[in-house]
Amino acid sequence: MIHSASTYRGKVAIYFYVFVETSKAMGRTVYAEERLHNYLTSLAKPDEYTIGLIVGQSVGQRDYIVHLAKTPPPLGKNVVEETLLSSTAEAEQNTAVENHIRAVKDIPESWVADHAKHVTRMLPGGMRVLGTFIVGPEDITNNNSNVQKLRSVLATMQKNLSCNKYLCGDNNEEHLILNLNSVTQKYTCKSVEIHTSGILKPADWKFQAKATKWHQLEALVDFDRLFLIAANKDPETLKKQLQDILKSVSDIIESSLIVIEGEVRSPNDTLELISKSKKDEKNSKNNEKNNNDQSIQINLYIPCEEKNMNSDVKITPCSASIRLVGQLVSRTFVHQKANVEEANIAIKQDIIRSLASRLEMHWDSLIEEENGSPEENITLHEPPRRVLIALPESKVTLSDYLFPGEGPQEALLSLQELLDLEVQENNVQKDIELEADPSEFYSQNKIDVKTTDLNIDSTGNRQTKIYIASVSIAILIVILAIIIQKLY
Amino acid sequence: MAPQLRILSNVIERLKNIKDDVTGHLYGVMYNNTLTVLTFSINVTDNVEANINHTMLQLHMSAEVYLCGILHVGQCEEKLPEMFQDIDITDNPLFLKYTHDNLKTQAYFYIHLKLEPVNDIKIINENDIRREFIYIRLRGSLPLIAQNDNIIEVLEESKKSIVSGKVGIHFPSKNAFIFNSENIEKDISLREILNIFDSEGNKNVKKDVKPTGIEDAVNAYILLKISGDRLPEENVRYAPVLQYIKRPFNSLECNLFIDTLSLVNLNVSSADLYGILVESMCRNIKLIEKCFENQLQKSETSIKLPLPIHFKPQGFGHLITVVYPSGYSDKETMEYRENLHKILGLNMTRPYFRYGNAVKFYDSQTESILINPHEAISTNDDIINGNRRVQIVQGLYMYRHYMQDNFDDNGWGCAYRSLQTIISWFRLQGYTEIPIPSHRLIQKCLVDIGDKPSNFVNSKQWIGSTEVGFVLESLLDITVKVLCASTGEEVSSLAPNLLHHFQTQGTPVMIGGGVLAHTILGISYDQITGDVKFLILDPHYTGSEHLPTIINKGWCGWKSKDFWKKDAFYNMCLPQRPVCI
Repeated sequence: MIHSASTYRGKVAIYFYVFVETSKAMGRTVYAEERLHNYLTSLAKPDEYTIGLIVGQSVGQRDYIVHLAKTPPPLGKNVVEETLLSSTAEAEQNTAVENHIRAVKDIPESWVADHAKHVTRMLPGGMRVLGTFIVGPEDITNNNSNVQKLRSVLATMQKNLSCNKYLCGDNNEEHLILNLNSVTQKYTCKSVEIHTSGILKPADWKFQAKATKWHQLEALVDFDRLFLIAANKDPETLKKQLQDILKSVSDIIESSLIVIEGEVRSPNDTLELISKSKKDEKNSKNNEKNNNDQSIQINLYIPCEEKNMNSDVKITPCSASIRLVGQLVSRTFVHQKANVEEANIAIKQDIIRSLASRLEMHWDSLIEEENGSPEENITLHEPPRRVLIALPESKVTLSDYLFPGEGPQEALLSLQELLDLEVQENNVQKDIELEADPSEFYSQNKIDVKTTDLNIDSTGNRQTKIYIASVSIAILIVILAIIIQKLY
Repeated sequence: MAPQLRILSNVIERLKNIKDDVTGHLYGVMYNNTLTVLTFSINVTDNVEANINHTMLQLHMSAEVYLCGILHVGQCEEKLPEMFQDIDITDNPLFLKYTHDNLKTQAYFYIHLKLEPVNDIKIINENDIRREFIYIRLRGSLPLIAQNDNIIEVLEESKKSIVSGKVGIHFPSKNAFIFNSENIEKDISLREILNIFDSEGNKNVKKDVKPTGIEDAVNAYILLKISGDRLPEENVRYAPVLQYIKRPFNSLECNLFIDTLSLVNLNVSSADLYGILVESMCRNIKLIEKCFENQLQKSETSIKLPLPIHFKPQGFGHLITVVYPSGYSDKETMEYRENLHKILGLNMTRPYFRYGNAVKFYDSQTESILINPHEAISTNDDIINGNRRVQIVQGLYMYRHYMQDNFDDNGWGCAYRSLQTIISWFRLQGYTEIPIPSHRLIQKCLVDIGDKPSNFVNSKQWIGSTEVGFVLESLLDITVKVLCASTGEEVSSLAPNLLHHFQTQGTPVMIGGGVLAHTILGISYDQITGDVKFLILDPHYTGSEHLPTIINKGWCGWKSKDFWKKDAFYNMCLPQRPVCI
């Protein structure tokens, strides 16, 4: 396809016509809700560019978009990336006006990439950042250097996501670029394979009044697993230990068998069929009308066929153990026509992504590695717990993670910050996972104390909080930034 | 209503061997108000530390086989109702009285505090059982981590979680699954799960394909559930946390091998089946627990992983599961085996629970060497009738013949193959664990003992019954007896010796001499006419392991005295069975 820089209206119209025809033949088709059109239009400003992320589910040549999220404006150069999560960033916004994007070349790549990482954490399994949208006073994809820049933005994003495989955010073959010309109010969509040709292909973006229907899948994953720390090994950082745990758990989840509503289904069965039979059965039992928000119950089983016949008993002197225990609530959405295989992949992704997000957030929040004093025999690490927030006019929920002591208002802040969404506090489903009761873990009779724990006395119950919420770090950094700005 | 009573014929046969007046326990399957007694144990009263008692023995049985009654052999004191105290599977325990003098069996059900005699006892055989019940062999390897020898606690935990429904079962043959019964909507039977419709027809076909010596069990595998269910009564649980405990300890890691059997009626519902399979896992874990406990008591040895093994002692007609520590020799398992012999009323002269005695399970994937092909021969009046004395090989052997192991010995290897058949018998009876020796190894052995010059190795020279005897003596450390016949006619005159051999020793006999070598598996002797028939296993067969061909073409079959060449001499090698357990 030739991208002439022509601005004649007539020619554009013809070009557009050709593009629609071609897309029918080969390009991607993208379905989005009308509400997102309004959102996109609302971002239009006469002399500024707004960049953001396209979020949804991709199946073959079709994409179902659930959300568009504006990337918050970057802050001063001295500010580290963590500020993105900061609740005070919003206040900062007003003082940092000069950071607004005046030209496509000014788009901060790593900033957008970082935004993509944070947004990916909030997505249910099976959904990803599918690409980027840009609102600005021109047809951006008609300009070669702009296209170059956007490719580079997507490549940075991809690179950033792929170095974190447990976030399951980088399996895009193609990325979408959606452009709204704030002058003409026309939008165009292209797809691009950044790893190969890099050529823009037309895609058919459809805003439609009728929302995509989603199947909701729910699983409660019970963890109770012991990980050992060998005594003869050099001590590793907690971060490394948690990464090992993540890998181990991820392998188990990947190997597990997904059971849908008590049955193992063939990969090609459609979920519609399962939903329908569930509905029929429910109707026959009692005439419940409220079947719309029913979810499909999922169970996970680990096959234990004897693959390795190793009958060794391994005895290892250990210096510590880490027990991962608790319940992870997984809620996944797949589009209406999805089959069992797609659902299976989405569910596993959701569980692994959710665990990875928590553990990452946890180790990022640790301020000091505790090689602590000998009397600290038991430490409870509480990674943040999941809360779910429904998207407007949709049953699709996104996740946020709250550290102990944080409340739903924290979730609202990150939602506004990262997804540009205003949500009421009562839309936060905050009780799907509970905060653990630390005293249960510090009480001595619950754990194996056959060894001589002479050091444990009444002060052994002392709870050391080894994390601090990122909020506080952010505040410090922002204050620092302001001081630096004032100084120079 | 009083249950129907059926007794496996093997039980009656075994009772004949119990000489003393003893009390014991009965074990059986209850289905559809019919009690089928499968086996018994006797109460061991001597001073040996009672490692296995009757409740412990139940764990060695397949799930569904329960302690169901009391056995009295000869004159014993009846203590009602205390003697029924351990029997909790039924309200109407069985009381069986057996008397030596008239070989009489009397049965009573204990109903409403009274012993009600059972008038109609059906004696059934193993095949009758197999028409209604099948074995399910459930396996899985469960990762286990213990700290500071708390293995037993960890095992208890995993048992608890299994009982609470945290497992699923996979039947790979039909790719069927069953999960915790609470969620099963449509209850289907095992017959439907495994798609067994015409069991009668199938059984006959199978009989042609599968010889005895190989057990047929439905394979099933364990799945561990790692998710919970959204139940209204279940509270929301706390999010995943990590409890980091710093202290020095020793960890113990292993993969626990569960390998457990259930004897299940084909009409059982999937909900019941789930419960049965869970019970079978629990029995297995309890045996494993016991095996760990025994090792922990002997603290000087390092802990070995307990491995379940299945046995089917000759004449039992049912399977028994035993757990031995991995890598233990037959000598190290001796004490446990002695206890098993005693409680099961087995003699102390033959091994039944050595590694070599372990049951082989049918595996459709591999074409394996046939075991006991002679059992597929349909016998007629010529062989068995009132005037004839018949004695055949006891236990199992493998049919070794030309061209096996991808080795071309056509024309010269028959005696080597006959020797291999004999060694397979010693292996399958548990006497030895040495692998079946190749022709080369047999030749090397003869060179090593000085019987043959060194160029004998890798040659194609024949060997005879003397050489077979030498090799058996040096490789297996057993003795042999030799019988000689100067002509083929004379072989028949040795019939009484052979009858005695098969009755007392029961080992396959190698016969060679001037001509071809064969294996004799049995003998039928007409006491009136003096006619003799020989059960012959022919090592000259060059075809595939196809039982119908082997039987129909007479490669394994009864032969008359004309089978032996009149003008040839014959030597027979009669391997002697060692007396040991």
